[in-house]
Amino acid sequence: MSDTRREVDYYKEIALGLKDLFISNMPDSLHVSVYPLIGEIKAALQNLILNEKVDERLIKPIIQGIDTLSLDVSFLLVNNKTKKYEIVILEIKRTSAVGLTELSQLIGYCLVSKAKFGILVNVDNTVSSRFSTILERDFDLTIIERTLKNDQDIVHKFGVMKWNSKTLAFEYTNAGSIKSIPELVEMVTQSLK
Amino acid sequence: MNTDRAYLLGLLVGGGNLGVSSLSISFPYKKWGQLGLHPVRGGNIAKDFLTKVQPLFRNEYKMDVSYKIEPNWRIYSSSLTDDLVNDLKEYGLPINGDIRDTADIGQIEKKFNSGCKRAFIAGLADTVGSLAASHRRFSNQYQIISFEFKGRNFKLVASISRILEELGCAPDQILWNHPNQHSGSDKYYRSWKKGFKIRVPIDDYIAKGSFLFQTKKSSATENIELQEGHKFSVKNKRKRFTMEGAKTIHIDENSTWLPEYLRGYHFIHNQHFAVVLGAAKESPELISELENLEKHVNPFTILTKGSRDEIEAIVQSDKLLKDREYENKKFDIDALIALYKKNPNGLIFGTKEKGYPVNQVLQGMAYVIGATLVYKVKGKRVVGSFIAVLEEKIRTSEFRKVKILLPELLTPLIITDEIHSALIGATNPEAYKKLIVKKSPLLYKFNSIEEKDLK
Repeated sequence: MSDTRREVDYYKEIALGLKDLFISNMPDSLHVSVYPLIGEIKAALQNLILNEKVDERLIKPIIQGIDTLSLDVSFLLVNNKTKKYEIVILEIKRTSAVGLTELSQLIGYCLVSKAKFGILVNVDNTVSSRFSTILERDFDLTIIERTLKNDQDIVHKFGVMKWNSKTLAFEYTNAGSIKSIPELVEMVTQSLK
Repeated sequence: MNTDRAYLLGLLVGGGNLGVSSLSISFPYKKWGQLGLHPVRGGNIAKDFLTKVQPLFRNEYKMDVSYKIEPNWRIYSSSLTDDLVNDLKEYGLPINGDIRDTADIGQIEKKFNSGCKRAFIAGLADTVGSLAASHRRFSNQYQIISFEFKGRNFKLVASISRILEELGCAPDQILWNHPNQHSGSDKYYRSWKKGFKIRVPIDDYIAKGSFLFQTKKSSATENIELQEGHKFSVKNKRKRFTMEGAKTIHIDENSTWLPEYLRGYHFIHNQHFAVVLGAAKESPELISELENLEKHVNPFTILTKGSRDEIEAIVQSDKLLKDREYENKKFDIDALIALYKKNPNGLIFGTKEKGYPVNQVLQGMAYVIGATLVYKVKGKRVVGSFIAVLEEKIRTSEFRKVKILLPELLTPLIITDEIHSALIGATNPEAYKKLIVKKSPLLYKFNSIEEKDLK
């Protein structure tokens, strides 16, 4: 792995790594399909219909309910029995330390798309100590509860993790309200039930 | 179960020890992790403990763990949570003592999905997966990760091998902690408990398995670079089934140290163990060799080296050896070396089918002269080529003192210069066949050899 790789060069390996982890940690009984999406989300969802042959009736309403958003990596998870779905957004950075600026960007994407879960991922690096202290002191910063126009309540949760490009594994920073991948999967699972 | 917990269970099976309310995980990193030798790696190991293991224990089991470097790398915690104990119980793992000694991972094999199995194996790789560049087959061109265990948990080793195979990184060889594996020639060698080794080609492991420790992954990648440009084809990766002569029926085959299901049985090959323990399917080659078992066993030692007194004590302790009449047999060393060079498997002092293997006789001689001259042996191993040692020393006055004491029956002959000695058993398949007791299609025992069997 050369240090000359750009941030975008990591999207695919991170998407595939997290897809494996979703599948490995989901209860078999839930029958969930996991679709990694790279790049602009509407186009990536459209691509599922065209190339992955995913049922158009399932994807079209999702596309209609979402704005055009240039995301790094996102996931669509669908409960095949109930047709409930969730979107998980990953904001990927490759910087010496992520902080409030990067978290704010991720929060913005999740609020606009109504995705409940967002993970800020720094490739081969972790969080600044100041940012870590802020999140530890103010745990609620990464839990946002809001009521939509239709009176639907929605809770957004965020985590901050490191992607280790050598071991191809996530490492945990302890920052945010999603501490680990199994915890994220558990939250998504509960939401899809 | 989730992948993070599966990884931690892998660490615990690899090196975990549980007390009443404490936990420690030993990482047998030996030279690889020695701070004095590899200070940068040492720092990175500590970083791996802090950034990878610590958060997992905290997230999954609400446990705080710390680490120690001396006397060996170790993670420890002075508390145990019910959550961890419940997981251990649920998957049939012991909740006290050294986990790997008694662990039965049958439930893990049965209940874990492939992602959790992969994470579990990563935990094992980070603890007991040895990546010394010396683990290789033939040369650097074929690098290995070796999962190494002490103790006598044969079933654990078999289960791990099955999981590795299922993940697509099948072991190319398993070395079992049994005298038939660690002391195939010396019937009397007591320090044979050298452990288990599950050897997996490193490129297969990199492709299908995983590490969480960056230090381990970096070593694996460095080792892969040693074999770059020399990739073996998939067909050649599996070690071919080859039999290298007979194995002695070791005095510890009946040892109570061995698990009951293996005790008293004789094994001719690592694949023989693997098939009996369900870690491999039987091959036609193995079945064919078992049908000719008498060619692969020797109730006597094949080669035992020692001081004159040590060998004399062995002879005196065995009535069959003690009651023999030994003739000081004249021999022509040049002729023996010539015979060896022509046919290393040739037999002497007998017939074409039975007699003493010339290579063992010459190895015994090289040891005796080498040990007496001190500088030609390391322990009981002749340094360098034994033929070279002999060729260098056969004209010396010391060598003229070496004699062969040949018994009147085909019991072991003795080579001695009255300071050091060697005991060499004969090849005698016709006699040895009479001793075989078949207990099942794959399991064999042997009756003790008696004088009448040799007459």
